[in-house]
Amino acid sequence: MAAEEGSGAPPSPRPRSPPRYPDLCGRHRLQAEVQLLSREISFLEEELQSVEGLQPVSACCKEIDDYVGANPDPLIPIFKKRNKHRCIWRWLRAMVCCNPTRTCCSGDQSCRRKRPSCTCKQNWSCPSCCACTQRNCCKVPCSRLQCAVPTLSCPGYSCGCVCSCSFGRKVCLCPRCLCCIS
Amino acid sequence: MSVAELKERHIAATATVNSLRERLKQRRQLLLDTDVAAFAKSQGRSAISFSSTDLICCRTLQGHTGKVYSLDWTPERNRIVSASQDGRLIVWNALTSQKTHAIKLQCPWVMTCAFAPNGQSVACGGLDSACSIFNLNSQVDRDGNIPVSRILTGHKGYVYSCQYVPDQETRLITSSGDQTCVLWDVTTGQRISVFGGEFPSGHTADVLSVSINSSNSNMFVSGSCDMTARLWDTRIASRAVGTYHGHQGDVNTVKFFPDGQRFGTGSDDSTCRLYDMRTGHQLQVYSQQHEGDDNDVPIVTSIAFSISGRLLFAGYSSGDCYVWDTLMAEVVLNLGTSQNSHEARISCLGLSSDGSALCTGSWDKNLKIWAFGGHRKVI
Repeated sequence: MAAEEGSGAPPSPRPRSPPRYPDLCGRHRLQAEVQLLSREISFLEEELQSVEGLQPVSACCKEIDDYVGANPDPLIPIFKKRNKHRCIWRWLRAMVCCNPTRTCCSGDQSCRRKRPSCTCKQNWSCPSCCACTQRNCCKVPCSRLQCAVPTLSCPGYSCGCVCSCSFGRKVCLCPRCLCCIS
Repeated sequence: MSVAELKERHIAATATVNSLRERLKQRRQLLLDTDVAAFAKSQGRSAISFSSTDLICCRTLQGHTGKVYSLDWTPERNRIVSASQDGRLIVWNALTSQKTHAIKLQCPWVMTCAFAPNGQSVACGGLDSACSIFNLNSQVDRDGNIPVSRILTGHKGYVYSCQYVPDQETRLITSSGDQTCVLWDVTTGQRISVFGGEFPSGHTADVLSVSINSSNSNMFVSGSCDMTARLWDTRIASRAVGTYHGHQGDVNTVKFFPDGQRFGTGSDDSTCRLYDMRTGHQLQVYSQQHEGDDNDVPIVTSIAFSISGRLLFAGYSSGDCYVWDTLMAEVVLNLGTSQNSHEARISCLGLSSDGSALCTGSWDKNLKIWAFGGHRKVI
């Protein structure tokens, strides 16, 4: 170093600070955000105008109330009877429930007490109210078999009965317990 | 324009936006003369009464070896497709509980699945940022797997939700972590429209759910981590038709009400809400008091309406599955405390097309099907 200074050689290079470039990224980003905000302002002004002519919430509530009341629901304990088509299930139930003592459960407490031990073999009083999980209730040999397309609304479906089909699309339905059997 | 000027404009525009939003909120408040529950009570309605055995678990679908993340019913034939953390899709016969197909996925990080309207194909998506289509009638490959028939690529983030457009085998809508929804042509694999993203009025965070209006399949609603739901017209991708505020957390799930004029949402804020599509009104909040501290508040993961709209099924991270009376805003049943209930978070749920059964999927690796097993009083 002393020799360099004495000889008049150029000074050793020193690192320079990087040049100060303009913050283009920040500027562009700001510009884009301002444009977005401007568009948002116009959308909000449009929405403010449209709110003027809107119906109140009560009108919407009435529409919902009317709609819900007009449509039956298979998952609800109470529903309005459909008169459009005769359902095969009601026909079968009518066949089974011809004896008033064997009518389908309609709130009879004694019927409810029998449900946990569903014995479709012997118990005729709750043909459609079986809440058992015993799949063997579906293997009762029946003299009268009716073919029906299996669906989730099959009364035996919620009973846990398996509707396995070996007849194409249809299964044989035992009208005694309204359970699907293979 | 200088940066300083731009910053001033930005501050002014932000203040204008906030002011307009506040004015809009106040105008809407004037129209909130009632809510669904108060109206129903004024009409003399009472809550649906369920006994503990009215809705029962009649099938448990076992077979996944990981958490179940998503499920979808086919419109007919009573089949369900489910997607799981185990990297598989399984197609189930809901009547017999049998598995008809088990598809091992190339990307195991699947988050969503959907059945095509004709029941012949299934779609799934996840962390691969793509949506894969499988034809269930395809011949299996050497390993016994169904080969993928189409991969829809283009999203820049994970695919969280997908749904086929009703009655259109070739159209599918996905929602993504890239803040957009996309309408796809499944036949060509091309994006038809992108909703959100670079255009304003799109979501500003991950989009977690979509629901297509079955009454008007040009309209769909999306739910997002930006705490809003947005309504879209597939013919107009440039802007959302409406933005629905109210939730205080991520909107995890959206579902149209059966009349096609309203839709429900479920959120991290533990509430479900019902909105009117046309007016934008928030019609009802479905909220339940929870025991424990605020950190344990369960989030709503999934919702579905019964076919009449009278019941709102909501699955929660706690494992509860509340059955809400939509009109009375009361919980009428909790499937989470029923016999044979799930043992972990309910992650997904869906109603069969005829409305007679509900399927729930859970982190306990099972799916369960619930149907009406009680007495039905006919009036």
